[in-house]
Amino acid sequence: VCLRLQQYLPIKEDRVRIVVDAQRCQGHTLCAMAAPDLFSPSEEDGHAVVSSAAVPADREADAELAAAGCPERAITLEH
Amino acid sequence: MTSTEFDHHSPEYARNWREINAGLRAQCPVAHTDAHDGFWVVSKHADVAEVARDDATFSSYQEFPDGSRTGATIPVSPLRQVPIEMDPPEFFDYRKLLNGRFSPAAVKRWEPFLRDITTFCIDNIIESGSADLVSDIASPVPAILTLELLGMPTAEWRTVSDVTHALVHTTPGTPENDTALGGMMGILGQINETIAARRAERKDDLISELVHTEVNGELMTDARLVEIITLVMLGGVDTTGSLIGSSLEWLRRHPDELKRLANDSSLLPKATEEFLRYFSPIPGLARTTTRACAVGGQALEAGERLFLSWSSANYDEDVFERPDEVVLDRYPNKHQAFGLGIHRCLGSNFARLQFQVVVEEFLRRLPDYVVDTDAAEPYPSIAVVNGWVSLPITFTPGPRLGSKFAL
Repeated sequence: VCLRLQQYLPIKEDRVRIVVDAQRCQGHTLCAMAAPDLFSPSEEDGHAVVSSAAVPADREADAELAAAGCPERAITLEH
Repeated sequence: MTSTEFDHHSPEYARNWREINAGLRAQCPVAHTDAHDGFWVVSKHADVAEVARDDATFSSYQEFPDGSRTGATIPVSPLRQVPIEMDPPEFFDYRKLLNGRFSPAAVKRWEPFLRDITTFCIDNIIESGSADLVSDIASPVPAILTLELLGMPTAEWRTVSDVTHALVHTTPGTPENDTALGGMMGILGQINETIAARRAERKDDLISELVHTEVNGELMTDARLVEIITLVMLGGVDTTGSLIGSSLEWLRRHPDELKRLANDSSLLPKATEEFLRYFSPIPGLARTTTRACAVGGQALEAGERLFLSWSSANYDEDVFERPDEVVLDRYPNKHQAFGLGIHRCLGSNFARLQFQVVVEEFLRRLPDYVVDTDAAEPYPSIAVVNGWVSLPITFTPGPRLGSKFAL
């Protein structure tokens, strides 16, 4: 419910995409700690807002770290 | 083995919770105990997560025709807290009333006030060279903040703090716990007075907002308002103070890590999560099965009580490398100290900000503090909150800085 795509970059075939399961996300905000440029907490309730669904190639490692750090397992990366 | 003598209220658990949890994980990850009319202890990270995410099977609140009820603690507390003791769909109606004032952005706006309270508390002791870390810093900061947020008189912070401390570290059914409950009745009276006052004249505080907010087209009853305010008060006052006390006590015993943190405040956010994991200020909460099911391979009937051990999950060897060590920059750190699922701690952003502001100011102004470990007194029971009765400290006196906050 709280997931908003602030900026929808054109998706290229080779880009990793971040998908947040809004039902699972409970606003722990730990993803924003790993990758503040990719995730920001919603003003409303702290649920993850994905700043950029398509991950720049040089940010893939941090996107993976954020996904690994989600206690609700709400973040997946689509290759 | 599926049976143990586990009792989270016991003095043995208060002293040896890490060892007892480790034993459960290794030998009996879903264990039954006869304590408190019988319940199951869930100790593995994955099992706790599975239960916490399934609110249909594992209820946080049920009422029965005979007037009895379940709730989020074992044994059930006489004071219901809402919405932590409430199931969907009703739960969502109440949680959304509160989310706005507890979001990261809303909490961030409290930082200047929080720094003023912290400066005020440190100013009160800084010239003397000795203090009690608990009653002079770790208790007043969260208590004053919580009362201000609610719209209750901050001058009353010590009463509220003393009562909530006593309420959490005494065992239900003992005279000490009855005294604490008596004190809580007095605080409930103050809450009721504030509700009446804000109903007559609205101010810019949480109680004002709640008394004028409708749920499903109707204003809330006083009883319901008290259940919500009790949650904010009990959740806000004791938990964060315990984390502050435990962490500063640990840092004093680990001077290299203390120096590292004092010199690099960018470490603080990750260190906060690690201290949350390592100390797990709320060791666990309860659920009740609504139907026959299985947890971690253990078959359960409907109506059985479960204790979800966040503190055990936070040391699960299958999830955390070197779980017995504090790794200040640990990441990922999928700790469960704030719980998981829809009931995840409402005040987590306040807890983090308070911890970071207090630790930063404290290490800056009392860099050479020494804890009198012989006189330090941990809670005798950690069933509800794992914290300290007192932590006497000494330090080189310094100058007052002056604060915009005064009582």
